[in-house]
Amino acid sequence: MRLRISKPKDAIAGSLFLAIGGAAWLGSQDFQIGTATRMGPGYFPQCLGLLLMLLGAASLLRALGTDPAEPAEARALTPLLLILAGVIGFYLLIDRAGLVAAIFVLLLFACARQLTSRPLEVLLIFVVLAAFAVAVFIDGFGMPFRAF
Amino acid sequence: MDLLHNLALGFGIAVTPVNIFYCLVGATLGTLVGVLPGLNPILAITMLLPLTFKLPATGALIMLSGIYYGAHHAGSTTAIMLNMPGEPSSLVICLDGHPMARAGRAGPALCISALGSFFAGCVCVLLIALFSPPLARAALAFEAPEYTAAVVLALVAVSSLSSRSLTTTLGMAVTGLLIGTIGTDVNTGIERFTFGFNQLADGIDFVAVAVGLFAIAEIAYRLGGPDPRPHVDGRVRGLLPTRADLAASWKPILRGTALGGAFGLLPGTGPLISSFASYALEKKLSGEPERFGQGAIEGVAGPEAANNAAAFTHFIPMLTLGIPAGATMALMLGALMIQGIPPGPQILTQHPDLFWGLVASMWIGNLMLLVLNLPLVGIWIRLLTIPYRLLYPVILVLCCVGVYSIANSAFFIAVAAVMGAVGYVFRRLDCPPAPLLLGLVLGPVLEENLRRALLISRGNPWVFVQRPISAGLLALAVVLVVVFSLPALRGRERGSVRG
Repeated sequence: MRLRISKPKDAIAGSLFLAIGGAAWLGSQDFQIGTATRMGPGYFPQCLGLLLMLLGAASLLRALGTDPAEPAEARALTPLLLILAGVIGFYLLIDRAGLVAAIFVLLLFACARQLTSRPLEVLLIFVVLAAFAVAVFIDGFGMPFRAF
Repeated sequence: MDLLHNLALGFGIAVTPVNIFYCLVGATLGTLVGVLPGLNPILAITMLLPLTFKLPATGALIMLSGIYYGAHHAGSTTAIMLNMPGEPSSLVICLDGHPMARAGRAGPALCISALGSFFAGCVCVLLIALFSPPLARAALAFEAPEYTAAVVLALVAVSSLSSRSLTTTLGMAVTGLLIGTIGTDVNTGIERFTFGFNQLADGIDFVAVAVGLFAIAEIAYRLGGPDPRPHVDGRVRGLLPTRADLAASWKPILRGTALGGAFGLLPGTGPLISSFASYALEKKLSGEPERFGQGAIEGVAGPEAANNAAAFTHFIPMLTLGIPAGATMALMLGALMIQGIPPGPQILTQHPDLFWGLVASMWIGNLMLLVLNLPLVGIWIRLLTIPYRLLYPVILVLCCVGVYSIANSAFFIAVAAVMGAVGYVFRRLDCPPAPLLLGLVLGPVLEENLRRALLISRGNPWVFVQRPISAGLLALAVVLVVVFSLPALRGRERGSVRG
């Protein structure tokens, strides 16, 4: 009967909570804490930081057990990176190059995996979405960005 | 009669052409969302909420509610035809609805679930109309300690009724509360945790966080896994249920409505738990429980009625107390605040047109859904096979433009991307995002009321226990924590609460 980490997910989540809580606790020391009667701006975040550290420690403890560790699930990370790249691209381009270019870059990354197998489909999605977005958001709602 | 007078006022507002239009758009979009696999109500509301910024408050709320109950109404279509729940709370409909479809009885299953939803919707909208005014009057007596306790209860309930261990889900809620402290402290004007970004002075916008958690993280997670191929089993031949179907269904529908109506009121339980509870109840009451799972119509009728009943009564805590009972309601509350309407019991007295217009529109929407779902079911079924690779680009574009429109600046798109990465990590760790969103929306409410309560009591924490209402709410929260920390009671794995 050896104690080990039998729930890796709980262990990682617990460590994350400990880190976030610790950072919040440290960060709130920059502000006036005050007392319960007269709370300063740091009082509430400090309490939350402590509470989160407590919950993180409890999650870590729960992760320990005698069962063998749950197997890690395999899941590709590329879709996340591609989508984040697309969204960041949209963020960078929307004010500088306009809506159509921003949508183009967003879809270029987000649909990168279909680009070789179904290039026409991706092109069609882009054309339809760009036309729709320009018609609805710029012409319809008058949102403050350019089309091109 | 006060009620009749109020309902007359409500119908006067809801029946204007423009509001009927918003209701129809909402119900249609909701049905679309419910039918398309991979789109759930919370994602749909996140995505479309920014588009309602420019609408009048009543119209915006009518449309968002239509999306919400429309999705709950139509989620059963995917469950029956594809064995895939269109939204989490129709998971249990798969158990008997799909076997019915495979046996060539998709028509009656769809018809009974539409009728059950319609009946439950009508009854529960009446419940909202009956119970909201007295509840709001009672809530006017709420002061800072009661609000603090109610927020704590809502957070604990949403966390404890999720499938994960309580320490993790509560951790998510507290993380949400912490994100909620970002921005200017209302009492001192000091900026907290803004890391030098002026744009964060008003806090992190909840739409950006919701887009990160429910759109970006969810899409990335789905695309990383195997692609589920939708495959429609069975054809719809004849919608009409037989006399025997109706005879077997009407009692489960009544029981499901009662069960769901009651469960929807409690924070955290909502549509998902109600539909599971109703299924268990019908199985227990049935003379032949072995038929369940083989295509028993009671297993469709009861849970579907319960699911929709709860979807409607879920509105009551949000509308009367300003405390949302789940993440979707937190988004609705946010929509109200964007419209400049402070949440709380005064909505009923200060904005009766909004409240009663919304209630009346729910009836109209229910009727629309019956028409949308029954005769047009063939069209919706054809949409079932739209592959996800065509859907997610649309979601991403709508979300990016929507987040831009929050403050007419690109800044929050970057925030959404960061929250997407964070949400993805938590998703991989099986940490549910709903408590985090609820914490974010309720964080400022909690801090404000906690401060005021302790200021009045001169720092004495017993104030929360000495006042009967707040003591009762906190006691309920403690009971939930204790009950759900006991491992024996958590044996059966449930799906995560998202509604």
